[in-house]
Amino acid sequence: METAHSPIDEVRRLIEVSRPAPRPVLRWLGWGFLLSACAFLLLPADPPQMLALKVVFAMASFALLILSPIVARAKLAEERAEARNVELLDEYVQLRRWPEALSLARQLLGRPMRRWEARHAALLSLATTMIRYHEFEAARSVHDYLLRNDDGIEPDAATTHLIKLARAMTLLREDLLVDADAAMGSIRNDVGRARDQIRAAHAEFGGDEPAPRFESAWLWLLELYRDIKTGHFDEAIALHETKHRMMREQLGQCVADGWALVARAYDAMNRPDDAQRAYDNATTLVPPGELHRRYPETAPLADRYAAAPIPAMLRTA
Amino acid sequence: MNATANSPARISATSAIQATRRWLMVARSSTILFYGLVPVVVVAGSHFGLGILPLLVLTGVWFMLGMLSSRSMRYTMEATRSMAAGDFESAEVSLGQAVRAFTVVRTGKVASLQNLAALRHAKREFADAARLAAEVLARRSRGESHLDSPTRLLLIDSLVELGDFRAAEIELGRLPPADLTLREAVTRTLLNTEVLAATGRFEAILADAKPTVELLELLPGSMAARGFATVALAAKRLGVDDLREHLAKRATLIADAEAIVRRRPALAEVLV
Repeated sequence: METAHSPIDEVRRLIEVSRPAPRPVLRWLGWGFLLSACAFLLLPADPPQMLALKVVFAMASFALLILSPIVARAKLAEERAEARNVELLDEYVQLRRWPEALSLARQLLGRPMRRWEARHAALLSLATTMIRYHEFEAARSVHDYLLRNDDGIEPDAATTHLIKLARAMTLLREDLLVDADAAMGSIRNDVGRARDQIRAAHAEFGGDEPAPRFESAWLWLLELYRDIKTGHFDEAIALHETKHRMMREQLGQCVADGWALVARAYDAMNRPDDAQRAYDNATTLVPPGELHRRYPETAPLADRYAAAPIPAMLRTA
Repeated sequence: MNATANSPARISATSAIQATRRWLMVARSSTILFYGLVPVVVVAGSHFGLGILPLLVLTGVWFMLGMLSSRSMRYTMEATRSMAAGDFESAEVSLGQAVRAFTVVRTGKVASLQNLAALRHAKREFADAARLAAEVLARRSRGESHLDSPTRLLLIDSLVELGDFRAAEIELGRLPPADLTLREAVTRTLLNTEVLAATGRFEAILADAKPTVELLELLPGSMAARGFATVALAAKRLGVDDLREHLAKRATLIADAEAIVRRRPALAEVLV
């Protein structure tokens, strides 16, 4: 990732520059219309100079009235274009087109944006892109900014949870285990609070059915990675064996990460058959290179175990 | 205020469609009346020595009616927030109000109906969702073309769930892939794959196996699993065993096989 400034300085600059600037054009047009209309109604028709002024105010009122929907439509078109670009940025991230994602993020965030929600979505995509380039501290500066809620635009609970998870993952990647533990403790508290709220609501309205379970598979994935980092392989295996079905429900394709990490644990505990099965599961979903890039601790597995074969019809020519 | 299936707070699809048609007619008539009255009040103002005062009054009245009409959009925005939070009952109440609300402006009324279609789809009431989505597509204007793709995808998905694959295929033909966002394109890919499988065109599925699977990977777990299993079914029917085995395994790694088969019984052939 090429940049003249350090990534963290660039991210801080983009956070600053992208703040939406208030542009109450429609409000000015509204006030302008009201004042012109009042002036037109209140001014006397004599002498002729006053009449001329009356006509000017009348024409101004009419012009402002015609202009308002035109300006409103132009404002809406700009907001739609910005929303489309933010969506395009998210698409680049999903398609793992990282150079395009970084370039578009810089372009979008390099000037004041129109809407706070669009800006936050663009910042999250920027943080994900930074993680891909292993600029973990720069990614965390975005996460910390969004979590601090300096601008009074608080992310919803689900987004806050995802930001905290991503942040904790960057701490683990950089071996900042004490900070990672603290971050995971905060996530655990959030999950516990949400679970208590669901149980309380169910107790009041839910009837005889059992309360729905509420757990975060992403949190279990973090704990699995932490166990691998700290060499607690038996705990990692026990965690995966009890939680892998829930991980499958919630993680989708990212369940491969869990399989890759537990393969590492099985390998460390000298259980090669289990390690091969887990590695096969992981590489069925995600190419080995990508898994080893996400979790460097799993890289040695490539020399010891066979990756899942790719069918001929799915191989790159 | 809760909206259960039979409560007065919940608006039926038929009533929603009728209310929307009525208000769209009011909006069209009001707009024609407004523009028709403009020259009349200008002439009248000049004739009675009032200048442009009558025109300003007329415009002011139109402006106020427009402000009253914004309630419909406010209810729709409330419903959107409720749906995002998973509170479907509150969304039913808000959208019922949005569809019934007074308006002289068509903007927002069609969007309210589209949101109601999305809500019924989320509640798995596919017959209602299909009717409402079809009505949105019939009523939307050129200025509301941004509603086209998401509504048509919703309609196609509802038709697939109802087993009407012929109608789904017709609607797929009206949805050119080039105009879609990524999210819409991957959903279209899944639906197209399911329609091809339901109509026995397995060669067509495998002809584009690689790009199809790459797109399906971007879907949430259970939808991606359905897509993988469908392509696996095509592979089985055409004797491509390595592909069948690989995709069936991918499907069961990211979703519960029994849950997939409950939704798509034909996939039991490759998943069980």
